[in-house]
Amino acid sequence: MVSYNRRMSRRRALRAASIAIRLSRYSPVVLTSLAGLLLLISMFNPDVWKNPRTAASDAFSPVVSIVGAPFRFIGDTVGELTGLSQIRTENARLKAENDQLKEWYQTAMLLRAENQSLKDLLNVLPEPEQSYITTRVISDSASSYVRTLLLQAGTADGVQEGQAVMGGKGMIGRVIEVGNKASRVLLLTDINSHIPVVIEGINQRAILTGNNDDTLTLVHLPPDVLVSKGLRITTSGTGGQFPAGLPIGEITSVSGGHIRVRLFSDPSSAGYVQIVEKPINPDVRKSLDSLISGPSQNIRSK
Amino acid sequence: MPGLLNSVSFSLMQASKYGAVYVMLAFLLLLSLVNIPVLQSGEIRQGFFLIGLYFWTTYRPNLLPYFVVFLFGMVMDLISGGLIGLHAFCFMVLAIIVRGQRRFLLGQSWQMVWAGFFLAVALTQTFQALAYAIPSSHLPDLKHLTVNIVLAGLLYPLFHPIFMAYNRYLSES
Repeated sequence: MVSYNRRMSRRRALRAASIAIRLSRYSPVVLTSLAGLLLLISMFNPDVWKNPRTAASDAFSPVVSIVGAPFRFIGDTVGELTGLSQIRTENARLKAENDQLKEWYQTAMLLRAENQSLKDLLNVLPEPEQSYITTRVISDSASSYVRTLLLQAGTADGVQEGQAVMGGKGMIGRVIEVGNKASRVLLLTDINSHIPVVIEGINQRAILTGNNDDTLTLVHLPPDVLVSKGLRITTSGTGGQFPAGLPIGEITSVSGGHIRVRLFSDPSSAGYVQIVEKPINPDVRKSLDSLISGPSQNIRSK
Repeated sequence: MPGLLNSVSFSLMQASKYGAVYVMLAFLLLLSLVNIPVLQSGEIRQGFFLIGLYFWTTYRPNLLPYFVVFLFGMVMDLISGGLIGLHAFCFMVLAIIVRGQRRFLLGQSWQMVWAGFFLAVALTQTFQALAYAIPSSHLPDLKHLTVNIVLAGLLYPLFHPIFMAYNRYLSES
């Protein structure tokens, strides 16, 4: 009986070893095929992997942040050191600019007062005040074919999917995935980015699409519209996803029906970004205010 | 009892020595994703992890079983926000090719090994460019692709001596 058990256990061990050898022989083929299959699914339906990707970004964001810290420090230090030599010229330029801005400030105050009085006359509902979440960029997509950034803020910090993301001078992208502690931004330069915009000056609506390079393209414009170089592009607010009027960039070239736009803010050099909290419909806010203040006050006000 | 303690501590030492290779690879993977001001292009930074993968697959293939290569690829895919399976596929293909050629590579000078790395980078980057070109119907910019391949390949000599020294240390201990 004992010898039978021994023989059986030896046979089992041999079978396990033979399975292990077979697995190790075929594992490269199996794993490569599995990776190829995952790739095909991802190419035709990228949203399938949204949740695992968000969970992974969430889990790895603290480690990525730690690894990137020395590089950020070096970048900041080098920036400060090289900046010292430029301070004098920068100071002179800023003084001249400040004198100009003082004049603009007076004009702006006059226009603001005029605008407010006109709005009062027309009974226009006030625009909701905008609030921002400032956060740090911890990594990017490590590819020229996908233009995304990973931010160190998530739902715990009030970030929501679809919010606009601003660089130093203008909009650079929108939030597409939100985890608890991290979120991913699809840059406007990505080929999959399409956002509704308006061309300032001629007040023409269009769609701004990315090309996976530094310039973007304006599409869906009527053929008879005259567009010239230098016109500013801002968000149109159509669809209610972003607030209207966020600066994006300016038209840099118009040739053969192709209108190229350059962003005001370079997304590749963004160290910190501001996430614009979604605009609240003024009517909704009004009804919420009335709910909070209670029905009695509501009746009195009527 | 002291004998047991000695053998346990020896095993732990050995494990930590070999484990350091995985720590190095994990660090290089994360380094590929960090926004470094001098290396703006992601493709160049991807070279960091490829160097580790290429070197250790050539010199210590037993330390890098295929499932580990696959796992590293999947982690990179998940964190980078790109196509899932793309890096895993590229790394697996690269590991299979390098393992097939390692006997040839081991007998060569380091410059030849470096030349092999250029081929490895060219292969992975071209495949990635094509993988993104298919769904977007946009042909990759060849000039941009070539520059990225060359620059990523140039990173190799920075890491080769360090890895080689550690490889010798592993052989001696």
